Amino acid sequence: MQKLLDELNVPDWNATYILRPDLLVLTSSMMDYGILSPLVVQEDGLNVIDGAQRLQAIRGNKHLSERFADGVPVHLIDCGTTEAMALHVQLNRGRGSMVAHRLSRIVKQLKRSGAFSVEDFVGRFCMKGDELELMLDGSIIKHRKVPNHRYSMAWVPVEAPPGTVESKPATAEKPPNPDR
Amino acid sequence: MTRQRMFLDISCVDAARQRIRHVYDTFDTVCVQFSGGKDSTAVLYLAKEIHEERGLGPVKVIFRDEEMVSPIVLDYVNMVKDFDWVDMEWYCLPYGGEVWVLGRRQSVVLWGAQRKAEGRWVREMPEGAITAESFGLDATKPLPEPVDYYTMQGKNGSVAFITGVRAAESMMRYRSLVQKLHENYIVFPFGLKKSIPLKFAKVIYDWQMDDVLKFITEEHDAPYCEYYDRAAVTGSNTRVGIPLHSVAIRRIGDVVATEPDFYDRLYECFPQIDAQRRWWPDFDIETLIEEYASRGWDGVADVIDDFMIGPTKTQRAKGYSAEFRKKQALDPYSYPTNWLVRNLLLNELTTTSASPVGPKTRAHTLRVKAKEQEDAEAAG
Repeated sequence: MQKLLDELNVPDWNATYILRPDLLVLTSSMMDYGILSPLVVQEDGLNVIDGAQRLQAIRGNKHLSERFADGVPVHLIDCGTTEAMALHVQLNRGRGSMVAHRLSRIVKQLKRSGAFSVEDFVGRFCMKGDELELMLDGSIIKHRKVPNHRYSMAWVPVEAPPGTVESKPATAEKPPNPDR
Repeated sequence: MTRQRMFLDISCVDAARQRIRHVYDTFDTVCVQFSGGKDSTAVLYLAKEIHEERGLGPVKVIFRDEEMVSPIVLDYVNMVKDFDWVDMEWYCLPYGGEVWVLGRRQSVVLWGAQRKAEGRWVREMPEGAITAESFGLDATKPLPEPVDYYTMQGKNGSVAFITGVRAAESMMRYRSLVQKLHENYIVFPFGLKKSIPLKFAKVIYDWQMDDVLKFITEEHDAPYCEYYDRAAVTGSNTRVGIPLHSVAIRRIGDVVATEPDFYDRLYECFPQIDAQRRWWPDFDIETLIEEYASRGWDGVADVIDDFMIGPTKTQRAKGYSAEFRKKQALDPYSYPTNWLVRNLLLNELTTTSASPVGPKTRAHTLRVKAKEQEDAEAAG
């Protein structure tokens, strides 16, 4: 079954948000392969339960809007708002996420195969310079530039007036990003 | 006068070699306390150097297996165990631990017999491990003495455990390493009876993380735990250790990013941790602290009722609060109630460690504001 873009609504209880770079990846995949699974829509009111991001990507892209001018595939569910909300939560909380070191293995393999250029990684995955380098390398030694590191000087504690022996106070190593 | 670092004209690696020689010259028995992490790996290879230099045979290594050790770390520890120059003692003792979720603390006994009976051990105990039974202990209860008391049993004469503790890891560790001026890196283990002839030797105390990685990979061309490469790819913290206590669990996302299958196993054993994973970034702990603290000692009692799960945690929290209350009576500004609530909800708890609020903390800022307001009211 198909529904026109203008017929579909994103309900105000929609709890998902897609970041711009992720939206670009989604747009790229739809340019290449179209919509591979139908949007899940509440029959009463045509509220999108699952697929709001795809709808957003299509509406925000001229080529995709033209391509799907005759409508997008939908799967209608006959349910009330409460059940629609519950399904929305189920579908989104039950979604897996990518594991970085496994993704790194795929990226390396794609690069080795010769089928993927740097432009392909940028265009299709929105994976740019630093991230691509990290995925292709994947070692803490290179990541932290350990070969260029010179050993620190040894030290001993002494009792002295402030600022007379060391110019800056000791600092502690911190995780690379906030708690998560 | 303050404690400061006086830098020497030698590298930290050369200094560590001098220190470890001194430790081997001074103590009858020297063991490496190994965790599978990069720092204890560096210490292990320093010990290997001196064993080869002096023909001492295999390096004696102690591994304290705390059950919630991730598979990738275990793979590495097993690899090290099989090195022909390593003689490893693998301990699986009933350590007292906790599972902390959004401020709620629950005691757990790692390798505890009760959880085993419920099928909730994170993994099976390895064969050949030294267990509670080896010491005639009841495996349903946490160890009655500090763990070092058990791991040093059977060692001859004066004993040194070389550890990979570094000052750069945290300000607490830095402070512990500048307390003594002479042999600052040789210290007595916290909580152990003074009659027990055991010392910790923190020979790489002045190393930075890159010193450690350079030493392992360039001077010894040695492997390190694969966790660190995964941490590099995922922007995770470079620390291995049990992941569910009050500090580590705040970075449970690192476990999900590096070893999602390990997270799943933890979730099977402790389903409550998923709330932490999902909601910690949005959890307003500061408001919670203020809400309870604003109700004074009634609020403190409610924190204990609401957030301490089980008699062990409740008893410890009550003991800690009683200690704090005595100190508050003498110096209310240094021991404000919100500092107590913060400690109960967020920090490590011991009955004797009620410390005054320090500078550059939220509690301290509040204390200064209150004092200013009080002074203004008195003046005006």
